[in-house]
Amino acid sequence: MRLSDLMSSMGLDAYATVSLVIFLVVFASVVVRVLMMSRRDARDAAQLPLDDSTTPRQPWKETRHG
Amino acid sequence: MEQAPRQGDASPPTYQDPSIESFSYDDRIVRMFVLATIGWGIVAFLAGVLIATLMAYPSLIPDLRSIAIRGFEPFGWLPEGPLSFGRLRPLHTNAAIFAFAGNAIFAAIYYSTQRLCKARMFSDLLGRLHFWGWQLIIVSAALTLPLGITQGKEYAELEWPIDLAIAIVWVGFFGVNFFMTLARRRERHLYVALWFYIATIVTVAMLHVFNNLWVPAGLVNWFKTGEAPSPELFMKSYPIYAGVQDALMQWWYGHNAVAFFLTTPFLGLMYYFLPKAANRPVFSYRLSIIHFWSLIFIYIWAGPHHLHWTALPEWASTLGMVFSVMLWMPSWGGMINGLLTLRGAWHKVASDPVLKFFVVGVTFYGMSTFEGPMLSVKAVNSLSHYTDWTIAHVHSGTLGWNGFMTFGMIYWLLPRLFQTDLYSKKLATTHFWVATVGMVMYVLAIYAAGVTQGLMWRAFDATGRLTYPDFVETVTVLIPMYWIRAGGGALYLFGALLGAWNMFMTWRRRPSSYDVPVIQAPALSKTPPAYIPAVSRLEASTNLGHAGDKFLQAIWHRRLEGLPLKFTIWVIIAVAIGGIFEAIPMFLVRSNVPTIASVQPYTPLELAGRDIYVSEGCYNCHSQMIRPFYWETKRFGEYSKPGEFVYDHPFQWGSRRIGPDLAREGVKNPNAYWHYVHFHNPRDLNQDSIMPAYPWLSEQDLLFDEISARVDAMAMLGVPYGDMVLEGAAEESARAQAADIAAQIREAAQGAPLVEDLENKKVIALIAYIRRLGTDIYKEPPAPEGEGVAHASE
Repeated sequence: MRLSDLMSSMGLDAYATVSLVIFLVVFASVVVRVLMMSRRDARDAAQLPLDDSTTPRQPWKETRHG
Repeated sequence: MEQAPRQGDASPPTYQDPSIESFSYDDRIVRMFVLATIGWGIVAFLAGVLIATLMAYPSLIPDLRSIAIRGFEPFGWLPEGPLSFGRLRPLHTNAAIFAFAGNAIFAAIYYSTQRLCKARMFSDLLGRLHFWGWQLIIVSAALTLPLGITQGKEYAELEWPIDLAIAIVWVGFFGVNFFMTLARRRERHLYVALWFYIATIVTVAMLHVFNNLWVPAGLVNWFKTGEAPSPELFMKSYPIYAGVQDALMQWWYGHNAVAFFLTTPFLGLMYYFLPKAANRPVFSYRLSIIHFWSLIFIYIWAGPHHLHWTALPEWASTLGMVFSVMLWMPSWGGMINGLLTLRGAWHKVASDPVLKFFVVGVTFYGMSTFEGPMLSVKAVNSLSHYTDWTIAHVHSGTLGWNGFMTFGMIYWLLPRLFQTDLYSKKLATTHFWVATVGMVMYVLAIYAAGVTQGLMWRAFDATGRLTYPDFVETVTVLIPMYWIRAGGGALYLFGALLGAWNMFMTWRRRPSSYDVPVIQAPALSKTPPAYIPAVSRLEASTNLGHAGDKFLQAIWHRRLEGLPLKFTIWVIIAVAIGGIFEAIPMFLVRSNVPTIASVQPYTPLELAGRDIYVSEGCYNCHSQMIRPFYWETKRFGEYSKPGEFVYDHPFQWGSRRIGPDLAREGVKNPNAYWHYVHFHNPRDLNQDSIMPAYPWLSEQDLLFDEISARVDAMAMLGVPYGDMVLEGAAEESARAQAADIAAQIREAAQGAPLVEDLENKKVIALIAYIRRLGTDIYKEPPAPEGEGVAHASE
C-alpha cells in the first residue's frame, strides 16, 4: 500500500476549515497580547538597537522587563 | 556570577562586579560578507542585462562570434550553449537571490545579532566556514548552471551535490553559529529583528529539504552496476514528486523562498538598520510583533496562488488566494511601521543617501506586497499569469526592496566597518538616482509589456476568432519594451558599479589597523529573572475573570520572548501548521489527482529527450499548462488535466510564456523535420522568433548506454516501466525509436544536407519528447488492469 492510499482513507476534508480556525485563534491571541503589553516594555525593547554603549547600563544588574 | 571565559573575549573586566564580562565584536566576517554582496551583485546584474539583451536581440552571441576583423575573431571564444537564455536565466535568478541577497542578509545578521545580543558570534571558525562554504556553493552554481546541470525547478535548480552542501552550510555552520550566539547572549530580550532571523533560518531549512528530495540517477546506477557514470549522469537526479504534487511542492518552496529568504531577513534588517540610520526607535514595537506573527503564519499558505487555473484542485487554489489577500494586512503594517520610524527625521532623507535608499526600499516593499495579493486574485491572475507582469512584480521586489535595503545598509556600514568616512556621499547619492531611474524604466516597460501581451492573448474579433492567432505577433510587439528593460537594467548595474567604486575607495582610506572596541556587559543569569506572578487587577469578578485577567497580562509571552529555544519551537509550529494542513493532503492524497488510463510513461528515448528539455532550461520560456479558458484552448488545444502529468519528474509547467505553450505540441505539430530545422535555428522558419538556436543539439551525441540508468531511477520512483528495466531493453528501444525518427527526417529533408549519424544526436531525443507532448489523452487506453483507474473525463 502506498502512503497516498493511506492518506486518502483518512478523510482530511476538514483541513481547510480547521486551518482557518487555527489562524484566527492565533491572530486574535497575538493581537490581545500586544494590546496588553505595557508601554514601558515596548519602549525598552524598541530602544535595543540604539544602545551602542560599550559599558554596562546602570544598574548593572538585569532589569526585569515588565 | 562566575562564568567560564568566552571565545573572543578581549581583556579582563575592569569593573569590580564579577558578572561584568568584556568582549568584542567580530566585524571582519561582516566586511567579508559585504564585499561578497557587492561582487556577486554585479555578477547577478550583469547576467540580468545579458539575458535582457538576448530577449531583444536573440542572435547576439552567434553574431558576436562571427565578427571578424582582418581574419581575427575577437569574440570567437564565446561558447554558445552556456550563454543561451535557458541556461543563463537560472544563473541570473540564483545569483540575485542566493548570492547577492544571500550575502547581504548574512552581513546584516552577523552585524546586528552581535550587537542585539551583546555577544560576539559563537564561533569565528563557524562564521568563516559559513562564508567560504556559501561562496563555494555560489561558484558551483555559476559553473553547473551554464553547463545545463539543473533540476529544472525555478529557484531550486541546483543539483543534488550542491543541495547537500547548502543544507550543511545553512544548518550546520550558519544555524549553529546563530543559535549558539543567542544562547550566549547578554541581553535578555530578543529584539524583533532576531525573531525574523530565527524564522528565516528555520523555515528556509525546512523548505530546502522538502523541495529537494530526489533520487540521483547516476549514483544509484553506480552502486548497482559498479560502472562510473559520466559527469552529466552523475549530477542528474529526479525529484520524488511528480506532476501536480511536484508543482505544489515547488511553489510552496518557491513562494516561501520569497517569503523567508527575500522578506523576513530583510525585515529583520529593516527593524535594525532603519532605526539606526534614523537614530530613532521603531515607530511601534507592538505593531512589529503583530507584523511578525501574522506574516510568518500567513505567508506559508500562499504558495498555490502561483498555480491558479492550472490542473490544481480548486480548494487549494482558493485557499492560496485568500491567504494571499490576508497578507496585505501584515505587509502594510510593516511598511507603515518602517516609514513612520522616520517621524521627525524626514528632513534627513534629503541629505542622507542611506535614508534615501531605505525610504525607497520600504516603499517598494509596500508596492510589491500590494501587488502580490492583487496578482493572486484569480481574475487578475488570468490576465497576468505567464506574462511579463510577474517579471515586473518580481523586479520591483528584488531591485526595489532587496536591492535598495541592501545598498542602504552597505552605505551605513562602510564608514563603521572601515572606520573612516565614506569616500563620497555625492557618489552614493548618484548611485541612488541612477538605480532609481533604472528600476523605474525597467518595471514600467515590463508592466506595459505584460499587460499588452496578456490582452493580446485573449483578444477576439467579431467572428469569435483569435485576433492574434500567431503567437509571435504577441512577442514582436514587446521588443521595444525589452530594449527599455535592458537599458533600465544596465543603469541599475552602473549604479552598483558606482557603489563598488565607493566601497573600494573607502576601503583604501581604512586605518592601518582596525580599532576593536572592548564592550562590557553583565552576563545573563542562567535562570530567567523571577517574574512576579500576575495579580488580577479586577476588583469584583468571578474566578474565571481573575484567571483571564492574569492571562491577558501576558507575562508568559514576555518569558517566551526571552527564551530562544522555546520561541524557535513556536516559530516552527507556526510555519509547520501551514505545511501540515495544506501541503500534506495535497502531496499525499491520491484522489487529488484522478488518473487517466491512456497516459503512459515516456519511452526511454523520450525520457532522455525530456532530460535535455530540462537541461536546456526550456521551462524558462515555455509553459506546459493550458488553462481552461476559451482563448487558451483555441490557441493551444484541449486544456491540461492533472492526470496527464503523473510521470513528470519534475513537472515542467513553467511560469512564463516567452514562447508558446507546449502542452499539446505533439498534437499540434508532430512534424519531426520541422522541429529539426527549428532547433537548428528558429529564425530559418520564423523570422521574428526570439528563441535561441540550438545547433549543438544536432552535433552532440546522445549517450544511449546511460539511458537505462535514467529508466531505472524513474522505475524506483514508481513509474511503471515493466520489462523496460531489463538489461539492454531501454537502450534497444531508444535506438529503434531514434532510427525511426531519423528516417522520417531524412525522408522529409528530400536531400537537404543533414548530419551523417543523425540517429545518434541529442536533437532526436528532444524531438521524440516534443512529439509525445499532450498526445496521450487521445490514445486508446491499454486493456484495463488493476483497480482505481478513472477516465479522462474526470
